[in-house]
Parts: sequence; C-alpha cells; structure tokens
Amino acid sequence: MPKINAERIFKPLFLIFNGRNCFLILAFFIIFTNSQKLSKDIISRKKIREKNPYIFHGIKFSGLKEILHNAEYIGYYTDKDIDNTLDALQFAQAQFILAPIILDLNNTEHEFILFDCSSEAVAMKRIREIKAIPIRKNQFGIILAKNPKYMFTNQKQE
Amino acid sequence: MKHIIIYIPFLISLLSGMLLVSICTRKNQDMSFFMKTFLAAGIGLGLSAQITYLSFLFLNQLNLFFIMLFHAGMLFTLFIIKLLLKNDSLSEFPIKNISFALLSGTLLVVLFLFIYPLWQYAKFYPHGGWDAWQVWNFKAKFLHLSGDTWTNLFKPMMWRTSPHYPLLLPLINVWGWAMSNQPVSVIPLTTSIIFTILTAGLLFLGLLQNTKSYFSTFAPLTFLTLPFYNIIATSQYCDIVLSFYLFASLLCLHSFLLSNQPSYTALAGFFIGFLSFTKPEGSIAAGILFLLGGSAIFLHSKNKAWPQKRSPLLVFCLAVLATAALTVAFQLVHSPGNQTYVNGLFSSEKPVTFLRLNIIFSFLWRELANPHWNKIWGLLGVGIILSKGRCFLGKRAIFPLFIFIYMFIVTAYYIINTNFEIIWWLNVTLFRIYFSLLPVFTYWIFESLLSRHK
Repeated sequence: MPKINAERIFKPLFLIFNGRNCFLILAFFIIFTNSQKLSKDIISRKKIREKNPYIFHGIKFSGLKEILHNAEYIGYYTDKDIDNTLDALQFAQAQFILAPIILDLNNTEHEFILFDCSSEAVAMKRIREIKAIPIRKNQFGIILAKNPKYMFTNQKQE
Repeated sequence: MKHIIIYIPFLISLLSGMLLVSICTRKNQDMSFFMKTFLAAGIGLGLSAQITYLSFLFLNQLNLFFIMLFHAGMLFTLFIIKLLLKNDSLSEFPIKNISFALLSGTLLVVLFLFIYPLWQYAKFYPHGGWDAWQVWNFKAKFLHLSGDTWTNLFKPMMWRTSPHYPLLLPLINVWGWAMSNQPVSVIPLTTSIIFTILTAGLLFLGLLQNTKSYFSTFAPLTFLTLPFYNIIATSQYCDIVLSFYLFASLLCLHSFLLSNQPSYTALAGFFIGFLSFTKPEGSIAAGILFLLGGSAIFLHSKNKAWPQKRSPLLVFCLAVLATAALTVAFQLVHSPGNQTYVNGLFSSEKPVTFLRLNIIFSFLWRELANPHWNKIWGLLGVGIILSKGRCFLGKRAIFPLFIFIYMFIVTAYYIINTNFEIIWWLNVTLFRIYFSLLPVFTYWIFESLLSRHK
C-alpha cells in the first residue's frame, strides 16, 4: 500500500481556499446574482413606464403662479387627512411646485387660499362660509379663491 | 449644445477641486491621476456649495454674479499658487506606470458603464423620492427663486421640510442651475448620479492604491449591482452625498496612516467639513471623525521630530476649520433647531419604554438581513470572520471604532427622541443609515482581506 501524504494533498487546497479567496468567491457570487436581479429589474421598470407614464401629482397645482405672482404665503385648505400618505404626498408636491410660495395648511386668513378638497361641493361650501371669491378652478377640482378682506387693497394697487 | 452648457457649473467645480488637490498633494508621489480627479470632484462641489451659501449669508439672496466672481477669483488665486509652487511640483497628476494606469483606467470604465442602469433608475422617478420633493429639491428650488425672502425656509410652519437640516445638497443643486437659470429637474438627477459614481470610483481607486489588488473592482460592484442601492442612490436624497463625504474622509485618514503623507490630512479635513454640512447625521459623523482622526494623527506622529510631529495635525485642524466654519455659521445664524425632538427620558407624555428599546435593537439586526440588501451585509459579516481579526488591528482600527461610536450615538438618538412612532421611524430611516455606511464598511472589509499590510 502506498503511503498517502495528506499534507501534500491538502496544503495546496488550503493555499487556494484561504480566507481571502473564499471571500472573493462569495463576493463574485453576490455580484453575479445581483447583476441578474439588476437587469431583470431594469427591464421590468422600462415596461412599467411604457404602460404607465410617470405622473407627478404636483402638476395639478401648476399654472397658478401667474396669479399668485408676489405672494409669500397662501392658505391651503383641505378636508382630507394630511396624515394619510396619499394626501400628505399631494400637499408636499403642491408645496414643491408652488415654491417659493409657502402653503399655510388650513389657514384661510391669507389673501389667496387654495382649496384641495374631497369634492368640489365641500370646497364651495367652505368658500361660501368664509365669503371668499373663487378666481380659478382647474380640471383636477383645485380651486383658488381670494379672501374678500384683500379685495379693496388690491383694487387700490391696480 | 444647450444640454452641455447647463453642466458648466459642475465643470468649474471640478477645475477648482483639481487645482486645490494638485496644490495640496504636490509632494505626494503615490496618489494616482484618477484618485486625485475623484477627490477633486468632491472637494470642488463642496466648495461651490459653500460659495453659494456665502451669497445668502452676506448678500441675503442668491446672487449669481457674486458666485461666479468668487469662483473666478478662487480659480485665479489657486492657479497663481500652483504656478508659484511649480518647481516643487514633481507629480501634480502623475501617470508614472503606464500599464498600471491603463489597467486601472479600463476598470474605471467598467464602473462608468453603470451610469446606464443608474440613469434608468433615476429616470423612473425624475423628481426623485418623497424626501427629494419635500425636503432637498424643495429647498433648492426655494433658495433659487425666493430672492431676499429665502429665510422663510426656516419658519416653524415649515417643520415638514426639516428646516434644521444643513444645506449642502440644495446648494450644490442651486449652483448646478447657474447656467440653466431655472430649477430644471435634470440637475438634481445628475447630482445623484455624479455622487454615486464618485463613491463607487473612489472606493475602487482607494482600495487599488492601498492594496495594489485588481480584485478591488469587486468592492463597488457588490453594491452597484444591487437594485435597492441604485434606487436610494438615485432618489435625489442627501444620503448618497453624506455617504461620499463620509467615505472620502475615512479613506484619506486611513491613507495618511498607511503612507504618512501629510497631504491626506488636509484632504480629510476638507471632507470632514463638507460632511458636517450634509445632514444632522453628517454633523455627528464629522464630530466623531474630527476627534478620532485628530487623535489618530497625533498618535501616529508622536514619535517624530518637531515639524513632522505637529504639521499634519495642524493642517488637519485648519482644513476642518476652513470647511466646517459655514456649518457653524448655519447652526448659529439660520438653523431654527430641531422641532421634531422630544426627550423621552424626561417626557411624561412620550417616555422611553422597554418595548421601544426592544424594537430598536431587533430592528438594527433585522434590517441587515432584509432581502432588499441581497445578503450583502452577510458577505461583509463573513469577511470580518475570514479576516481572522486583521480588520480590528493596527491602522484599520479607525474603521470599527468609528462605526461603533457612530452607531452608538444613532441608537441612543432613536431611543431618546420619542417624537416619532418608532416602527414607522425605523422603517423610513434605518436603511438610509446603513446605506451611507455601506462604502465605508465595504472598504474596511475588502482592505483587510486584500491588503498585505498586517
């Protein structure tokens, strides 16, 4: 029986599979699986965008700046729950689109008030209550109204 | 042509950074051309943001003429200094070993190919994620358009936009809009891609320089191929900016400890200053790095003769002071303080509870195992074991020390500030803390295993 020298057999294996190389093999495996996921994810995202183009909800509030020209603050009235994710998102995007005008949540004392309500009827009811004058309404049901307290001052300026 | 013109501000930043880095590293023979360029881009963008802030600080509004003039003056001064130091300048941007440069350049091109997937991710949400339009891009747009009413940004009613957050990212974007004259969404999108590439490239180049192993390419690829990483990186949040400056600071400190080149201490100081202006977490990290880096530099130089003993520490402190001064100015003059803080240790309404502690500690581990990381933290954990303790020893001990102190403070903050419902808060923030630490962690483990230094 020839004598088996275990050290001669296993020593090269230990040299090859040292800590560094084992780690690199694992890293390569992670990169490989990640790359597969990445390519699949990019393809699926492209398909999603082809079917559903990106919609930024803040777009509902664009086109108001011409009227609001020099306003620093405007009121933003809503009957929605602003802690709700979607409603908070809409408020944040409205603030982003209208920047640098600051939206003062549920404060109807400003010259201009933006009504973003669950229905047009709710918005109009509140507008009548505070005797505001609606000056613009868009296709998304967003109403911009003017506080009657400021009518006289502005007419004077004009 | 119009598309190229809008990127001119970024090119001016790169040029400023390159001049400053070439002056700082004029005696550093080891640093490659690519490494200098990547460091220069980060420094240049930080400088431009701070110059933009000076316009608000001194002129009380965005004044592009002032900002451009300041940049021109800075470029001229740096150019003159560079000319005066020319005789001393043996290796401004050296390419000494052509084959090494060609190979590392090729590997860098491989990393640049990742601009395509990053662009695809960025395009999916062109306005970025929630915090982009609620905080970062909103502030940038506000600063750009508000004129002399820009301080309205810090009014209490703006609490949803975190008015106490420092302004580095919004100011980089405001500077980026200098040529487009309007807040076009492509600039914040490009900024996020630039910082992702800078982070990945610097990780590769830093490892290549300090380990001389071409397996360094693996390190950035582990997370650049990760969909979740790409999503956060391109969400136009400040986390990628924080991640870059944090990693660059630690890389420069570690490179100083390895090479003994004082130029690294200046660069580390600059990066720490910029880091402090990114986010509150960045300010905490900058504070830790200032103390830890200062101690490491002091201990490293203590046995040396007089000029070598003090000069690296002095240069480090001066560089931190130069770039962190505006963070201090912001905290003193403009920041309204954190309005979303309730000290749970003293609050009877929202006290710290045992359940809260339990949730926090279990989340810290659970997030690491979250499938969206695709076992990347597991890989790094295995790396710690396979390094057989090397990663905790010698000059690389600065990494575990930093990570431990930083995570200790972050955890303490989660425990003490009881303003938010803890599960929601951990769900929306903890992954970002890990995201910003990932390049540091990856460098630490790869360097421990690939390096021949004990």
